[in-house]
This record gives sequence, C-alpha cells and structure tokens, in this order.
Amino acid sequence: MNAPQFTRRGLLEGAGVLVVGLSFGPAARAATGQSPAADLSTPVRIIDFESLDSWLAIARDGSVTVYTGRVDLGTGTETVLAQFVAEELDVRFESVRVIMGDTRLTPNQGKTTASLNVVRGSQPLRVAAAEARAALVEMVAAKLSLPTDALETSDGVVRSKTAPDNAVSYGELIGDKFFSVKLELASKTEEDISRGILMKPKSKLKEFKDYKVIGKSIPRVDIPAKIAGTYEYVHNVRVPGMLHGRVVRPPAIGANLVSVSEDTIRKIPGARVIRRNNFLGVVAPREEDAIKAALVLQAEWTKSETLPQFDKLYEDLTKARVVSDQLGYNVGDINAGLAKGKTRHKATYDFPYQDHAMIGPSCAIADVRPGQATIWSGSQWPQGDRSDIAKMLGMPLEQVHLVWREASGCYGRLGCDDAAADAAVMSQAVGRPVRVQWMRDDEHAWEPLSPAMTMTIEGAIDDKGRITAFDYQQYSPSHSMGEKGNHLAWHLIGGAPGWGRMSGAAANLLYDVPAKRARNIYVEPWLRGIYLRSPGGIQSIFAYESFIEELAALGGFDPLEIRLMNTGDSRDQDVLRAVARLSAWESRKNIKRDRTGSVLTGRGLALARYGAGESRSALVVDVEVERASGHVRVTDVFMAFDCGLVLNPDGLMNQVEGGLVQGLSRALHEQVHFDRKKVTSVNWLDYPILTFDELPKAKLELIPRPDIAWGSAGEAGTVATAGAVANAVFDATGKHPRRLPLNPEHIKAIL
Amino acid sequence: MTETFTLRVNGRDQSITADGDTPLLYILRNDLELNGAKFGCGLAQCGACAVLLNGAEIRSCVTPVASVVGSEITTTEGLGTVDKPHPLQAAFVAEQAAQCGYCISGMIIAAAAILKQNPKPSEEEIKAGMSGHLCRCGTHYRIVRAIERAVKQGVQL
Ligand code: FES
Ligand code: FES
Repeated sequence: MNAPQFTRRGLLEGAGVLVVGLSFGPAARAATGQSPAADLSTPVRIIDFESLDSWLAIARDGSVTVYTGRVDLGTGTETVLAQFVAEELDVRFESVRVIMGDTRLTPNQGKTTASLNVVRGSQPLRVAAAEARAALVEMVAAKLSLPTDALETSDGVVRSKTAPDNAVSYGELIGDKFFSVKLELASKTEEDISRGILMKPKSKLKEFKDYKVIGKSIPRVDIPAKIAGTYEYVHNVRVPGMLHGRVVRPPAIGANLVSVSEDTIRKIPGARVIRRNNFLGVVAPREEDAIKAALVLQAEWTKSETLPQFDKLYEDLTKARVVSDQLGYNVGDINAGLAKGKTRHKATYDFPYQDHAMIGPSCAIADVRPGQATIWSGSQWPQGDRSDIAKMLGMPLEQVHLVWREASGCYGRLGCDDAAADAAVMSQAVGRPVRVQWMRDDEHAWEPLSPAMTMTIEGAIDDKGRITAFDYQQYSPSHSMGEKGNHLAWHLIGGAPGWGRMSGAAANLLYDVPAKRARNIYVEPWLRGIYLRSPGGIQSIFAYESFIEELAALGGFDPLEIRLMNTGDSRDQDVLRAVARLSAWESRKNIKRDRTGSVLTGRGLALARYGAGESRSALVVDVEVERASGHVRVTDVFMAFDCGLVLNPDGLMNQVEGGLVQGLSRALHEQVHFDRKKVTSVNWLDYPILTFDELPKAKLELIPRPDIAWGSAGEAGTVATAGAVANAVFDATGKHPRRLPLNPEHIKAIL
Repeated sequence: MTETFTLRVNGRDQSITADGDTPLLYILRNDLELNGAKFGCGLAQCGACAVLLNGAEIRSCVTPVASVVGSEITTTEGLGTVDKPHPLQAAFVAEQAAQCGYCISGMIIAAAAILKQNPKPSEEEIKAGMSGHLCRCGTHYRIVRAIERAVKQGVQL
C-alpha cells in the first residue's frame, strides 16, 4: 500500500491551506491587535477564554508555552499542569513552559484554593491542549486528504500510522503562528469565574488508561532553583528607583490615627512618612532605614477594644451576633434516631484561631503611576487582588496589572494581598515604586486568620455500634471574610466595602447514618478570617472523629470496628483496612492499660474524606503523655490515603507528608492569642510550630485508584490529624481532650 | 554612621557602604543581590536567613555587618548553582526536598554546618541539629532524608 508522502514542501509551502494561524510579523500584530504569545515583553495579549491562542502557543522549535491564571503556591502545580498539557498535546514534558498568574498574559482562572488547582484549574488547559493537538492533526489530514484517524501524534510530531517515518513536527506546522481555533466555555457565572472556569471539550480527552506523562514522578521544575537559592520569589523582585516601605500598624484593631510626630524619623536618611487617613507608613531608600523609621516613628492613636476576652472565646462564639444560620446535611428524624440508640452522648469541641504562619512574611512591590499600575504579589487570586487594588486606588481595572510571583508557602489566602495594597497606597503617594515587606509581627498579628470554631454534637449508637443519630452544630466566623474588599490598607484609608461570603462549613459526614443534621452558624468576625488548609474540614472532622471515638468507648466498641461498621463505602473501608495493617492494629478493647505511670501511652484512629474528588485518609497515631507536665509527644504515625488517580506520585507524597506535619503542628501547638485590643502572639516563641526534633516516625501508604478522577492532595494529609492525635490522648488518659491545641495547659486541665 | 566595608562573600571581596549595625541579611540581599538567604523573622527564631561564617551557621538577620568583616561568608549560592549544584544541594534535589522552598536555603546552610562538624550524624543528631529551623510546608521528612543521603554519599564540606 502506498503511504501518503509527508514532504515538507507539500505540507508547509502549500498555498495557504495549512496556514491556519497568522504570522507573528509586526503587520499581523497591527492587524489583529494580538501580540506574539511567546514574547513576554509585550504589554498586551488579547485574552479570550474561547480562543485557543489565549491558552497555548507553540514556537518554531516546538516549545510550548501555556498561559494559566492559576498559580503555584509551592505545591508543585506548575509541574503538574505541564504534565497535563504534555499528555493531551502529545509533546515531551520538557518542552512545556507554564506562565502563571500575570493579569496581562493569562486568562482569569479564579482563585487558587482548596487544592483545586489540579482538579479545576487544569481542565481548561487539558481542553486547550487536546484541541491544539486535534487542530494539528486536521491540518495534516486536510492537506493530504487523509482521514484524521490515519494519523497519530507523539513527542510533538504528527505522523502516519502506517508509515511512521512520514512525520512533521508541531513546530514546523504551527510554529509562532496562531491556531485561531475557537473553544467553548461550559459556563460563565460569577461563581464559575471566581472558582475557575471550565471549558466544553470538543475533542475527546485522553482516557486515564492511556496516560503516559500523567502518573509519572516527574521531578518538580521549580525545585533546582529553589535549592540553588536563585528562584525568583516575590521577595526578590527589584524595580529601578524602588523605595522600601513599612507600615506602622495601629496599637489596637479599629484605633484611629490622631497625630504623627514626623520629627522622630528626621535623622534617618531619606525616610518619609506616608499618611492617608488611618494608614500610616514610612518609606526609605534603604530597607534597614525603613525598618528603623517604622520602629521609632511616634504616633498617637485612639483607644479601641473590640476583641472578646481570650479565655471566654468559645463561650462568646455561641453568643455573638449570628450573621447566617445554614443547614448543611439534613437527613431523617434526629429525635427518632436518638430514641433508637442505646448509648447516647453529647460533647463540645473547640478549635482555636490559627495562623497561616508563612515562614516568609508577606511582601509586594507596587509601581503606581498616573494611568498605569503594576503590582508584583504572591496573591492566591491575582485577578481578585487586582480588581480590589484598582478600586482602592480609584483607577480603571485596565490600568492595573498584577504579576504573580511565588511567595512563601501559605496554605490559604492571606497577607500577600494586604502587602500588595500597602505597597500600592505608598507608591501612589510617593510616585515611585515601593516594596513592602511585612515584619514577623505584622504577619502574625495582622494576617487574616483561620477562624476559631466551637462544635457540639449529640448522637447515639445502637447495641451493635451502628450510629442512629448524629446532630452537629458549629459556631464560627466565616472563613472567607478576608477574601475580597477587605485589604487592611483599604480599611485604613477608608472605603473598603467588606465581603460577606460564608465558608468553612462542616465536612460531609462520611458515615451512613439514618438521621443526621449539620447546622453551620456563622457569627460576626472579630478578627479577619481566611481559609487555611481544609477550612471547616480539619475542625469538623476533629469533632466527628473525637465524638465517634467517645461513643465507641462508651458503648464498648473498638475504634476500628465501629468505623468499619458505619461506613459502607469501599474506598473508606480500604484506607481503614490498610492503616490497620500498616499499624498492626489490635482491638483496643483487649488492651490492658496502666494509667498509673508517669508516662501514659495511647493509640488513636481517625478517618476522613475531604474536598473535590473526596480524597480519603485514615490515620493511626501513637502518643506518649507525660502526666505531670501534660506534654504530648507523637511517636508514630501510620497513614493510608487515596486521592484517586495519581498525577505525580512523588509530588503527591510530598504534599501528603507536608500536610501531615502541618496537621500535627496544628493539633499539638498552634493557637493565636489576643487581648481585647489585638493579637498578642507575634512571633515563633508565642506561636510555636512543629520542629524537627518532634518528628514522629511515619509510615504512609498510597492506595492508587487509576480509574477514579484525581482529588485534592494537600488536605489528605492534614484533615484527620487533629482527631487522631486527640483520640490517642483519650486512649492514653481515659479523658478526651476536646479543646485544641493539645498543649500542656489543655492536657493538664483534663487530667 | 555610614562606612565602607570589605566583605568576603562566596570567595570574592565585595565593597559595600552602609551603617555598621545593618544586619548582614539586607546587605546580602539588597546590595549584593544574593537572594538565597531570606528574611523570615529578623529575630533569630526561624533560620531562613542562615549563612555560613567561616563554616559555622549564623543568623544573618541579627548579625551586624561590621562584625563579619574579615570573615569568610558563604551563602547557598556560594555552594553551587542549578547547573553545578554542590553534592549537598544535589541530595536535596534528588529527594525533592522542597515545597515553597522559602526555608530551604537556610536548611542547606544548617545541614552544611552540621556535616562540617560531624560528617556522619545519626538521624537523631540531624533532627536535633536542624530543630532551630522552621518549615511551614512540612518538608521535614524530605530534608532529613536529603541530609541522610548526603551522609551516605560521604559529602565533604
Ligand atoms: S530571619 Fe533570621 S532567623 Fe528568622
Ligand atoms: S518548604 Fe515551604 S517553608 Fe519549608
């Protein structure tokens, strides 16, 4: 049979048939208003969700540039997104470069939250890559009058199935030209824009079983430069003529600025005070001078006491003004369920305010000039931050651009956006670029916090250990108040509109319960709140898993047995069985306990599902509790987890290990302190996090699910941790520690 | 008072003009544009700013520049580069021991200081030696494994 001939001449020099894109010459640019996608120095790219060229460009050398509004918060997103594109486009992983979060260059893909990057953020890129591949195949098919299924692609080449030597590279086909292919949005509601838009796939996306690049432990592209010390963090951005700025914070939340003694900084070279209503800052050419100026500047503020008393926090949460009272899950008749139970129980669990506690405090650079502003920020929501800053500065949106650069790992949206607003206000005032780096106490005291929560559960089990009723209720401020319209600087200069989105609801209850109800009661915020890894999840699952452990003990059941009995889901059962095997679980009913020694030992179990794709994890934790001091040491951790199909096994493990350490830290140590005026835990001594010498031995087992779509990764390690550690302390001491953190103060209180 | 100093950084003499009590960190980052050492706390609590001073770890955020004149200062960049990493850095890459990586420069400096003192630390010694360094991303297990890998390979400092 005669294979069609792929002569370069025939394909590439034909009379325009194959020239589906426009050439990138200046004339073409002028004609279309579009600039070469691969040229980053160009000020304007036309960004249209429905244009393939907005998402992806292929250069003559075959290299692929992908544009995404999503950002990498240190979790390896850049690598996984490149894997997705390489997979659907059939190019080598190394040829893909990802441009993230630059509002001049990248489509708006909403906020990067809840580990949804690879779940939601990847979808438009997968579609764009698949459409690009299809377009390239069609180009060749049309020219050679072949059916498209006579052709195949791999490694950036289209070739004939029957005569594989007949091949032409993507670079030759489309290099530096536009595809001019139209894509179709699946929906474009406000909600979709902020969570991340989805596209309608026209060409078929690959089936999981055909994945070659996805599923490989490809080393992360960002890691070598991070380890060499040369990675470009937002903290390293320097702009010619830049001044260093520091904000002088009020001595109390809500205090108003009365007067400033500018004299106090007169001797500091080049230092200047910037004051706008209640916003007070200083700038200086040298960073150490800006720091000094902020320290010595004297100002007078009004008195303000707006916070609850620290030791009455949880009581006050239940008494605070209710902003919204929402029903979560609600099935069956609670009273009938309670009546059917043999063992009934009611308990309240408390989860404190916690910090995101980035190691590198928030930092941003702003260059605000008449008619144009550029902001460099580590924002998790570049477009959201941009539109807020535009409004705050009183500039039209088109004149404000935000360039994302990676910040320190944050695991929730936070002060990065505030620092951007601080820098913008100061740059606008001085007419020069200003870099603002928050100091450690700025970060600890003024970042939006993970809100405190108090949770009460009433429930019952029957004589077989089956849960007959589960009635849950939580009080907490929303975990989204700091998300928009709430920049500190905007409040200080006046006019911040605030933001009323409610989030932080209880996780779904994974147990099969005939009568269950969750009430999420959102109360007024005293401190700005924003989500921190598994918002609402880590809190409610701490309560759920503690409660079921207490019920098991009351009813005389083993913790593993009661969980297996109450979930019929095979993925839940599998992680439970795996962790039981990993930890050599023995029924706790048969364990002889001696609670007279000075060190008590115990073992706790917790099970969780979380987030998109309902990733699962089951955790067994062993602890030692020092009776005299109340000190808890976690000695061993066993975890089995299932995040669906695994995109990058080593990357996933990195996230899960990290989530585990963070979860242990939050369970054992972390709590924000405050007085009536403001947060008082302002450094790493006041707010300790887990250190190397506390690392338990850990055994982790991943249960791969090659046929189930991937779920959240980061939360899988975190979400069950607090429950498991609390249950281990319960097992050791016979008393359940219902208030986090499990620090000596709280443990001594229960012993 | 502003003075001119000669600092020896990563094997090169560098002249800088600053107040003598300026923390070394700002000189490294802003004057020499060496971005490996990071600002984390300015309080000697986290280790993000660590550099080597004659082979021993110091916290550059609290070290006045005037006090290090005449000493050999080494930052992460002085150990190796992306293309030619120091074997210790290569061990970190091999273990993929970073997430956001903000703490990692300090971690590598601390590891270098530990290995210089004791080329064969045990796991417990590594953990104890690193415990003054904080990481929010929970990269601890990988950092320990990276140092153990370097130990196994007999990495010299
Ligand atoms: S920045 Fe120096 S120890 Fe934290
Ligand atoms: S890797 Fe992010 S702080 Fe350590």
